[in-house]
Formats: sequence, structure tokens, C-alpha cells
Amino acid sequence: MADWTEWWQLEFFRNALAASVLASVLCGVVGTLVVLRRLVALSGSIAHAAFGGLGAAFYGGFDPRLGALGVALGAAAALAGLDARSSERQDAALGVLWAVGMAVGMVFVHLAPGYPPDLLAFLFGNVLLVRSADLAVAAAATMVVLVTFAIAARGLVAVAFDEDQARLDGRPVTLLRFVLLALVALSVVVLLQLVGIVLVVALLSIPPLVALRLARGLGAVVATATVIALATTAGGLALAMVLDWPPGPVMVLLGAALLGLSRLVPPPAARPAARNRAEGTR
Amino acid sequence: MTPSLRLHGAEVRHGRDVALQGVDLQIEPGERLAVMGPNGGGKTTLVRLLLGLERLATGRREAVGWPRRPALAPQVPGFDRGFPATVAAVVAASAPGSPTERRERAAAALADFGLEDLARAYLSELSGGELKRVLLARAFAAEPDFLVLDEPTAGLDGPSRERLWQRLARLDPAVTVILVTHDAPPASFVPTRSLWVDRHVETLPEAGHG
Repeated sequence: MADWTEWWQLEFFRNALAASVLASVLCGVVGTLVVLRRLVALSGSIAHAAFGGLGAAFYGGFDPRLGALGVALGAAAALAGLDARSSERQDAALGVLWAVGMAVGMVFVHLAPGYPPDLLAFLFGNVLLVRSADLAVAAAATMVVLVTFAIAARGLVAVAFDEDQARLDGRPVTLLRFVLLALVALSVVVLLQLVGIVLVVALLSIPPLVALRLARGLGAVVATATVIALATTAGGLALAMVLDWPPGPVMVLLGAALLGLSRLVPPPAARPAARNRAEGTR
Repeated sequence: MTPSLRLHGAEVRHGRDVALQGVDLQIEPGERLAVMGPNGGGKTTLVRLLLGLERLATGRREAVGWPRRPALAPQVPGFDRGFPATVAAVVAASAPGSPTERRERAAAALADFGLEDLARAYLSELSGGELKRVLLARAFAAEPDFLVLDEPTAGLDGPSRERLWQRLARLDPAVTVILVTHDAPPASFVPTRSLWVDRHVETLPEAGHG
């Protein structure tokens, strides 16, 4: 039977594991902001819109990821311009973007000459197909996300927390909102390799949701979400190898199971000591 | 040019509704304004417009060299209470200065509103009244030159109201204060002008002493 040392000999497994580690960092950092800022539907919309770019790049003979990234960044820029007050129709706009992106992608794939690409790998991912060159691209993208976050962390958190207050504090809110959505776009493109367009929102939302149940404080939530994401992606990869099931869906189902388990843990809200002290002083 | 904040023919729409129309207003440093009017009349929209938080449908907003440090204690928080942040961190984030100065200013503002013991509490642990006091503490910790209090007493108990009026009385007279209120302000708050907001903005005639 397959065991870890045997798997480790396989380059595709090592690549898949490395991709899982990179993805986990993105899920922890960007995913936490996505969940806290309630950008899950928006992230799903960006991911599906990216399929349009993917199809166009495939048709044009470019690297499909470049097309996906271009469209994802374009969508991020367009959505960043909508502010909270003027975005009463944002929900509907996200739905339209979602479906039109998929439609455009399918038409380009249909028009492309030659054999059709492996659509299932685009839609549901196949981390076992990650090559060393793909890994380098993913590592570079992850570095860009981390460096950007390191530079703009305070502003990004301020905008994710309370946009009005961030504006009063003199922060460049529209720019920060774009940066946040651009980080989402970049993360989506990296995560596509693992779980594909359809499942990408699960990896951005499940680890932070579990972490919010287990940890207090933003730093602790980000760290916990990263660990949960690693358990989900690497664990899902191993489980998929054992079961000989497709890795993307197994990762998502494992994450869902962890999310279910985390609901059994009482929320970290009540702190009787702090409360009693406060009551006593009144 | 003397610093001032002006609205010229300002109109704000929320969707198809006209929230404010034909507003001409000039505010100068050190003014004390009381803003009154019916529910849904546009009081909150007016103060948000003054703070630069509303988009104008028509008209202009001119801020001439001022305000530099606007602050707002909103009626309802603009954040999600599930956000994993402590009271002290939220208040310190809007205070000016170095990290140490920010912490000190936050601690002083929390003490002003009787929140010392909740400094390390998370937002999800607060009651509605406690959250309201956090919003007030954050606005004062910002050391503003233009302070808007939007119905600050709603949801506050008697002692907390008293703390607010005491803190307001200690404020530098150079700071402009706009108080949106349904209740009569305390004797210590003497408005230089009172505005009535019901889609349009009118300046109320001086009330007699009594």
C-alpha cells in the first residue's frame, strides 16, 4: 500500500504538497479578510469571471493563468469602485459577472481549434497536475500577496473593519479596497490550481470560519486559519491519494467536515472573569 | 482665507429617495451646533455629508483648510461585532500619535466613559450600551477638531449620559461640535446655532432664555 515515503519519491506529489502549503498561507491571510469583510460571494464571482479570461487565453494560445489573472484583476478594479452606499445592486451585479464570465469562457473554449482542454481540471482543480514551473509562479504570487499585506496591513484591516472610520482617519479607502480585492484576485488564481473555479470560495472561507470559532484576536485567527487550511489541503491531498478520489473535492469535503466539527466547540465569546470585574465596578 | 466647511446647493439621494435637497450651510471652527428634526428627516445624512462620507447628487462641499481631524460617534456601529478586535485596539486605532501615545489616549478616553475594565474585552462581548460608549470613546480619542455626535444618548443609562456631558464640557472650545439630538441638550452645551433638518435645512430662530 502507498505510504508517505513512497509518495515522497513522486515529483507530482511533492509539487502538490508544496502548492498546498502556499495555498494555506493565502487562505489564512486573504481568506480571513474575505470572511471578515463579507467578500465571499464577491470572491466567488471573481473566480467564475476569471474563467472568461482563462478561455480567452486558451483561444489565443496564451498561458490560461494570465488570462484568468487579467480578468480577475479587472473585475477587482471594477468592484472596488462601488462603495457600500451605491452598491444596492451589487448582489445582482456579482451574479451577472459570475455567469457571464463562465459563458464567455465556454464560448472561447468551444471556438478554440484542436482538442478541448481538460475542463474538469479548470472547474474542480487537479493539484496532482502542478508542475515545478507552476509552483514557481504560485510562490511568486504568494510572495506578492504577503509583501503587500506586510506593507499595508493596518490600512487593509482598517478598511475591512469599518470603512467610514477608515475614511475619517484619512486612509485612502478606495485604493485600499482595490488592493484588498486585487489580493483576492491573485489568491483566486493561485488556488485555481488546487481546487478549480467552482470550489475556490470554499478554501477562502472554510479555514477562517473554523479559526473564528477557535481563536480570539486577529493575529491568532490568521495563524489558526493558516493551520486549518494546511490540514484541509495537505490532509485532503493525502486522503485523495489513499481513496484514489479527485483531490479538489476531497479537500473541500474535508474542510466542510472540520467546519462541522468546529461548531461543536463552544464559541470563544463568554469570558466570565472580564465581565464580572466590569459588573462589579458599576 | 478663514477655515470653514461649506455646502452649496447640496443634494443627496439614497437610491431614488431624495434624502437632502438645496442645502446651503457654512460652519466655522469652534461652533456648537444642535441638529434636530423628525426621524428620517436626513439628520444623519447631513452630518455624514459634512464629514465627507456621503456622495453628492448635485451641489458642492468645500472644506477650506479644515477640518483636519474629523470624528464621528455614529448612531449604529459601522463595523461587524464579530470582528476579532478588542475595545482598546479599536479605540487606539483612530487616535493620533505614536503607538504609545495612541495607547495612552485610548486608555484616557476609555476611562472617561467608564470602560477601563472592558479594555481587553472583545467587541462580541459588549452590550449595546457598552458598544455605544466605545463609539464615543473612539471619537474623543481621535482628538478631533470637528466632532459629530449622532444621537449619542440613545441607549445610554443616566450615569453614562452624565459622563458624556462632563467629557463634552472639558472639550477645547476651538473644536466644532455637532450634536444630533431628539432630547434637550444639557445646560452645559450651549449651541451657537440650532438646525432643523427635514429634507431641507433651516436655522432655527434663537430660543429665549428660560
